[in-house]
Amino acid sequence: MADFAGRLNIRLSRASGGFGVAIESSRPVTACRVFVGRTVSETLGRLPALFSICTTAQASACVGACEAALGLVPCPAATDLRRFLVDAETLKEHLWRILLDWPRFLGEVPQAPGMAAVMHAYSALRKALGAAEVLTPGAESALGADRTAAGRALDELARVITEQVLGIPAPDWLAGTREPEAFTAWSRRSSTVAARVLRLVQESGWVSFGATEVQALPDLSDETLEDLLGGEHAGDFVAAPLWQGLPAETSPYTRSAGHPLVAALTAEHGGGLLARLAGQLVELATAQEGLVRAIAGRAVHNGASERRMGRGAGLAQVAAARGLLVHRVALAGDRVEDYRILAPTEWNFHPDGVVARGLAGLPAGDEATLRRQAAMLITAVDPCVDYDVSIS
Amino acid sequence: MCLAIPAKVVAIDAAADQATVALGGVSKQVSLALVDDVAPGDYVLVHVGYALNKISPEEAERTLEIIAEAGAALEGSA
Repeated sequence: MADFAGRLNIRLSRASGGFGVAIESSRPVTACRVFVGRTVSETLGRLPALFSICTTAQASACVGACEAALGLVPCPAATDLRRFLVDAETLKEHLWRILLDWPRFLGEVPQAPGMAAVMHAYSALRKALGAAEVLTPGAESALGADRTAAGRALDELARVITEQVLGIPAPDWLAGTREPEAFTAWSRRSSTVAARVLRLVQESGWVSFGATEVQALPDLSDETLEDLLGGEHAGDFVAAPLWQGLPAETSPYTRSAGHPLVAALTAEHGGGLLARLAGQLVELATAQEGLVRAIAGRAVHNGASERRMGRGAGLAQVAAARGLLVHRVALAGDRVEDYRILAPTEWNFHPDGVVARGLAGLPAGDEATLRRQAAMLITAVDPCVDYDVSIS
Repeated sequence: MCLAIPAKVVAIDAAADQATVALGGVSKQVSLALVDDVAPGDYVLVHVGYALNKISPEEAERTLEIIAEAGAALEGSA
């Protein structure tokens, strides 16, 4: 039972000119078979028990897939709020990495009080925005949203990000670090863990570690994904997905690759540690700014949901914290006949994927340094489960 | 799976902000840094060494049932 969440077992073996890398995953990618034979509402009721970390993205994908299968179109306000809630979850997940995992790279203790404040604020935000109602098939309106309480929760998230991550408010940070020189200057000036980790990466000459030629997963149409997830090879595909025969990456880094800072760092150093960690900070700051603007801006527009002809099968794509998440459901009446989930960890930690190839190119140093570098690279790409690294 | 597993708090070390929890018959140390007001006998959701939040015994039981069902489904499909 304790192992049900699954683990990644990552083995590095010294070879000439780098490392042989083997990644084995015990992630239960077919656990969603448990939904087969259930009704849509039973499925939605069970989902949070199995996906308690990225619940919002999973629920959003599940609801979206069921709606597509049933021919339901939620009101625009509910669609907006779902996106908002998923972005808030991404913020929380990035903060987990930065506040709890990054300090270890510096030999420091995790910043647990900061993360405790984030968890409180995130849960208050979900409540204020009526997450449970919004994440219901064919959600009619977003009347439950309490903007004042949501604003307070966002202020608290912004406070933690300002004080413990960026050192200055997110909009100022974004405006002031658009070029690599300015970013480097920030990492030298600020005393936050994030700044000091970025300084360590630059001063140690680790900027390009993990850079590979692995392609970013392109935008895929629902039809393309339907073919892959509804076909007879869907089980093999979701366990070790390839795009056109090649591994691909879907992550905060690929999402932020078009941002001027991330693009410039990639052009100069490749998609290694520096560009990846910078990309995560850019996504964090951009998401926080976007959420504040969304909550302060437009009034919530209520509308009716629409009903169209259901096709019996449907899928939904969600930009989850770690990359693209896809759910695909086939219904027979109101009961689930088939269910598939395609999660980012299976792309990014594919045995021949971006992490495997990135680790293979690490320089052969002493074991302690190697472990630290491997941990940084793995954390930068971010599996959603625990992992072990062995070196031989 | 992006999953947190329910565990029963057996003992608390307040000074270290840690708890001993029973997780599927195994006892484990977890950090209490992210939760408030946890007492022995409470159920918490555990993820990568941290207790995430307190849940009711009924919720814990229901969650464990669903996880067990999914585990059985996995074995069935393997």
